[in-house]
Amino acid sequence: MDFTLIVQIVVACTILFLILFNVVLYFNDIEKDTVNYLIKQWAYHKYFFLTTAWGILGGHFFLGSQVPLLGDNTWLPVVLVIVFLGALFLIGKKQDQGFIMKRRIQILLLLLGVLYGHFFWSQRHLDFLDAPLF
Amino acid sequence: MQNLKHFLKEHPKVIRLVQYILIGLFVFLVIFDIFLAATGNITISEVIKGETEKGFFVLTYLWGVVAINLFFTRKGKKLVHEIPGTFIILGLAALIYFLKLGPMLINYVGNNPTDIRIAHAISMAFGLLMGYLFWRQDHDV
Repeated sequence: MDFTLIVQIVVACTILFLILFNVVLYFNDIEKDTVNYLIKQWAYHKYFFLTTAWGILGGHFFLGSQVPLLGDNTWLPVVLVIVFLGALFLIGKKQDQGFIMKRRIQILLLLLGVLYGHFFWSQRHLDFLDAPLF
Repeated sequence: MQNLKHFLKEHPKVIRLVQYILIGLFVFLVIFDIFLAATGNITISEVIKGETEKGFFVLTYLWGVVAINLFFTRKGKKLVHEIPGTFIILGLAALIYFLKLGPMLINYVGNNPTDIRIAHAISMAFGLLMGYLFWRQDHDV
């Protein structure tokens, strides 16, 4: 069974749902309950792993080295993503209550994510790359 | 964090609900993707890759815009208010889609795998720039 259309519909519905949901939240009586606001609050406090995660997805979806550093191994980059994000999550959890992430470090986290997505978790590697480098 | 706590105290239910919906949506997508990969079907990544390679650059542009909106706040003055800003951002997305700027960019940069990544990177950077100009949130963390 070809899932392409189903996946396209699911992704499109997710994006549309988030846009419409956000519009409703923006115009309701309660202030600062929008999706953007809440995710920003998360990212600027303890859950800055979200910034890296967004970067990783960008690098993974849209870029991708032809010769990724782990070869064309499909599962190792995913495991490493979980390990890295889990580590950032735990580091965030350990911060004090009033912790605020610096803005320039957010950019660094985003960039590191993109670089990881490009150099480690590539979808565009060459076909002849058959053996993982280790 | 103080702000969020204050709002949580005032409107705990709505904000909690939004948070749970977001987490739920994320978990659903991850489980859906694991299901697709485990059953040997096309995964979300592969579908997105396929679409962007055909020039669906709305996605790369939106990635950049959303990255700035969520993760890079504005400390200085606003260039435009957030509602016109949102219209500008969505208007540009519509232009990219309807004027077929994605395929045009691919034609211009080139169609081999290296070039296509450059085209994607240009589109992502364009999204980041537009997000930076028109769609940053206040730095009221």
